[in-house]
Amino acid sequence: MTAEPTHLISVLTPDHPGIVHALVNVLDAHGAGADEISQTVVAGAFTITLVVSVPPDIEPASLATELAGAAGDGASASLLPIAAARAATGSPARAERYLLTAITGNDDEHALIAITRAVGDRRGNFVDFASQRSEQGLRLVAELELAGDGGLTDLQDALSEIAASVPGRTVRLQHERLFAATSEVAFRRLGR
Amino acid sequence: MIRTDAVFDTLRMLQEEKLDVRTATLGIDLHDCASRDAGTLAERIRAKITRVAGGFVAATTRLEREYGIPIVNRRIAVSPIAQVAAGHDTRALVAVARALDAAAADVGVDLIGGYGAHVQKASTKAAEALIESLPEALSTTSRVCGYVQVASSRTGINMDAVNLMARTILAIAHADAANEGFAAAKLVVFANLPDDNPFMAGATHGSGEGDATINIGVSGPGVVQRALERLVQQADASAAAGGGGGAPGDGATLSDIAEEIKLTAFRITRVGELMGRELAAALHVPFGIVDLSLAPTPAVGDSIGEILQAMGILRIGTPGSTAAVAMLNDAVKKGGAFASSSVGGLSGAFIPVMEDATLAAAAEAGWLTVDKLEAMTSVCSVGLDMLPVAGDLSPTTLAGLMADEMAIGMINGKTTATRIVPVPGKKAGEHVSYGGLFGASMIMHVRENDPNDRFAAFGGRIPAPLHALKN
Repeated sequence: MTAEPTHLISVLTPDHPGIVHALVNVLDAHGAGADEISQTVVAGAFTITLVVSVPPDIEPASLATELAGAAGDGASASLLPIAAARAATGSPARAERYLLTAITGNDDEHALIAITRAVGDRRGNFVDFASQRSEQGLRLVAELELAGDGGLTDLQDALSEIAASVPGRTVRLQHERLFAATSEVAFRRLGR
Repeated sequence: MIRTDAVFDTLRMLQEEKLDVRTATLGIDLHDCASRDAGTLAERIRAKITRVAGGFVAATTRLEREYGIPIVNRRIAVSPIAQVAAGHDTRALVAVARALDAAAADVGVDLIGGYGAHVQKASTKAAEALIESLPEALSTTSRVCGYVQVASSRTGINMDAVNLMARTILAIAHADAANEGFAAAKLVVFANLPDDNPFMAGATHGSGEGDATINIGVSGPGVVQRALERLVQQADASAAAGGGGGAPGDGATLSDIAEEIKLTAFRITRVGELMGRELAAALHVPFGIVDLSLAPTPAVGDSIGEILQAMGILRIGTPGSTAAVAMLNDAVKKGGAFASSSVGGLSGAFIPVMEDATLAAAAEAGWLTVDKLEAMTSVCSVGLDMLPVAGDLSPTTLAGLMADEMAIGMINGKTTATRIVPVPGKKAGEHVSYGGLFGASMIMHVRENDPNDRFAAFGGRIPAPLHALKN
């Protein structure tokens, strides 16, 4: 039976092969289980967040330090108790999930701050966020929770204004089920 | 988190390729409105439609906003009126048509279907009254659409009904001569009409469909066209980069094209089913079906003809066109059937000459003829749709044209239909335009029958084919 998770531990380190194995190895040695792992690489930096059940006889801070050491030179780790994370979440009780998408031109420097301000002002809660700026401009896909009490229309209007204020900006907020419907099954074309 | 490239693929379909829900159709059973009093019948019909469909348009608008998907048309389909109004005369039927028109206006929908009759074997008095009422009913209302089923694979073709409908269609067009016969564009003659067709002008809420249901007609010709163009361009580029020096298109085969259509149809269908289920839940009625038909509009980038061009048929109607339409429709069905277990309606490619600018241009150029259209309907599509013909076409020729189309449906066990629009005062080669989704086209040339031809005039019934004996 899996123990209740107690902590979130994040590790940031220059990317190289073998990091995940090194971290899991440390957890296993201490009898700590990882209930959930989210990992990505951004600009050559490896970042991972682990939802961990730390046994009572282990000091969480020392475990985090050991994980940072196992991750290699230049790594750092941070620690957050699950209870503190849950208390601060503030997700509305009847939340619906929406996908926010934005495309801008390459000379549009202020879209990100305008969009995140509009969402924050209306108590929208980002639960997943990915953006990339390239020579073509900004491409942003973010998943957010929004109370199902009429906040959608207000936020859509605000985002429409943000989009209309700068030529070349497109900002849309649509229910995430639309994208799930069109993406749930990925066909794979077989070779000839 | 959904993959970013998949998210932007969906956005591209919506923003650049005209993906939309072509129609959300609310089916309503009207049998409980029956009354011996014509006035009461009309009142009950109007009251029931406004009650059941009162929140329909608002619900679709909310969904459009929440999902960011246009719902182009909101329509209502009702029980076959010849059944609901059994026992009434032509005057009462016209009053019912006006009640339907008023109800549609009350709830804010632009078209209401189901003013129809099933006479594939024989006519009831109510069916005869309904057919007799069609010229006045369709030319004096703006939202009412009608249909008459004159054939089926089980019963054969009722040639008396075909002859009657030929005369009736001409009468409808001439009753609406001020609008160049537009009223005839609101009538479809069917073989094997499904009970859950959401597309106008032939939408109906048939037997066994329950009290009310939501049916969805998806669209997406532009999405399919652009997907095929990308596929061919990328394959060409890949072939060129490989140094093979082959001709354009060498990099892609028809199998690749069929796969791409399937993939695209899958995504289109999923969008349609999602919206249909959400709308049904909002209205507290059952979700019915998704109709897979690719429905074009006169807009550039929303055309079946442009798909055929992307498939390599540059002159629509020239040899190869029939095979291309067959492959297109089959691939759409395969992708759609995998996406949804609730596929229904017509689910065939629409090739309405007037409503598809590329098809209209092909007709203008002389590549697309009535005979070729008829051939294309034999392999996949739904029929001779939005076909403008000369206003003085003889009833004999019109009956023959319909009989040919019904025979294709009867023998192949599929839906076929005609929506033929005689244009009063105009000849083949002249032009007609109805605007909006109804489009514009050159009036098609139809070879006239000999005035002494007796085939259709013999009347009676073309018997059901042998394969009707399935039990």
